[in-house]
Amino acid sequence: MSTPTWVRVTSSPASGPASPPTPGQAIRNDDSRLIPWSPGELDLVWFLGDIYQVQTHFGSRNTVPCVGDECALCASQPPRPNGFAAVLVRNGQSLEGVEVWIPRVLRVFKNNFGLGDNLRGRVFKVKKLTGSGARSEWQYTFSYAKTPPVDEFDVQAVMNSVWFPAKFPPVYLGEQRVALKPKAVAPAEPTFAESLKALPNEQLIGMISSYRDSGMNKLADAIAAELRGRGVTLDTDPSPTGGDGDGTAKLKAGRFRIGVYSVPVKAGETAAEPTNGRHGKPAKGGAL
Amino acid sequence: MNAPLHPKTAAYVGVTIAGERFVSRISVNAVSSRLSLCTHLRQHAGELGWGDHGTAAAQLALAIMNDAVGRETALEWYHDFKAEVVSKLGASWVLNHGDVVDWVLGRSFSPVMAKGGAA
Repeated sequence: MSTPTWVRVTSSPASGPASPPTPGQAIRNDDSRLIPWSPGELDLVWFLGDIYQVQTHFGSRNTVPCVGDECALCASQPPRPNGFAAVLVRNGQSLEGVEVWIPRVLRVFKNNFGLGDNLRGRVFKVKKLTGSGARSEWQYTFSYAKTPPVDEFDVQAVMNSVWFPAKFPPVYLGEQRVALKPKAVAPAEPTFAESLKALPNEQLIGMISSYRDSGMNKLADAIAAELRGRGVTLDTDPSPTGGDGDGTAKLKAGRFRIGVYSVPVKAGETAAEPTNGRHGKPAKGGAL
Repeated sequence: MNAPLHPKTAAYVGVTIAGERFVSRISVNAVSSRLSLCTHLRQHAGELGWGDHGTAAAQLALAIMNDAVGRETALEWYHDFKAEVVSKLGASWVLNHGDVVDWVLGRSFSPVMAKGGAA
C-alpha cells in the first residue's frame, strides 16, 4: 500500500500572508478544527513545528489520507488538503502552580494555512467562533513567542500510525506533560482575625462600640478577643451612673468612624442647604 | 441608587502584612473574603492600593464603591472617593460599609433630602 505524500506548508502567496502575525492580531480561519475537538479544553496552542499538509478524503466516519494512484476514494470525491502540526496544548487547569502543556496533533484545514511557516515557538489563543465539525470556524490570535521546552515530534509518524496501524507502530504521546514554570503563588488572604492584628487598639475599641450599636455582635466579639489577647481590659457595661470620668461612657459614645474623612459638607453650608455636585454641576435632583 | 451587591458586608479592611497589602470584605459574621478588583468595570491597575493618588488607589476606590453601592454609582463617584478617602488611608485601615454608603448619600442625595426637609 502506498503512503500519502506530505508537504510542509510555507508562507507562499498562495497559502497565506508572508509576514508573521503580530501580538494581538486575530487570524480568522473559516475552516479549521483542532484535535481534541472540545473547544472548552483548549485555550492556548504552542507550535513545536510547522504545518504539514496532505491530501485527504472524508471516509465513512473519519478523514483518511489519499494514497495517490491506488486511492479508491478519488473516483467518488476529490481530495482535500488537510494540515497537521505538532503543538503543545495548555491544559486549562494548572497543577500546584505549574502550567501543564500536553503534546497534541493540531489539525489544520486549508484556510488555516495562513498561519504561515516558521511557527515553532509561536503561541496562539484559539477560539471557536461558530459551527461544528468540518464546518466550524476557529479564530487564532497570536499571543507571544517563546522557545518550546521540547523538540518537535514527527507528525507524519503519528498520523501514519493512526491511518495505517498495521504498518506503522503507535507513537506514544498521551501522558507526556511539560511543566513550563512555576506560577507565582499569591500569598493567602488574611482572615479577619489576622487583619485585626494590624490595627491599633484605639481603632479596635471604637469598632467594638460601633458594631455593638449596629447589632453586629460577632464582629464585635472577634475584635474584643483580639484586644484581650493584647492585654487590653474591656468593660463595655455602662456604669450605673454613667459619667465622663469612668471611660465607659466614652467607649459607648465613641461610634467608630475612620478619622481620615467625613461626609463632605462644604464650608459655609449647613446640612439643610442644597449643595452642588462635583465639578460645579448640579447634584442629582437639585432642580427639585 | 443601586442595591449593594453584598448586603451582608459590614466593613472593608486593608492591612499591610510583611510588605504585602491585602484588602478584604468583612461580613457581619466576621468572615473575610477577597474584594474583587473590578477590572471588568474599568482597569486602572492590576492591584489595589491606597495612601496616594495612584492608579491602584483608583482601582480600590472603584472596587469598594462597586461592592458597597453598585456599579452605576461607583462609576460616577469613585474618583472623588479616591481623592477624599482612599488617598488618605494609612498603612492599615477599616472602612465601615455604612460609612461608604453615608459618603455617597452625602454626595448625591443630601441636596434632595435637605430640600425636602426644609420644606
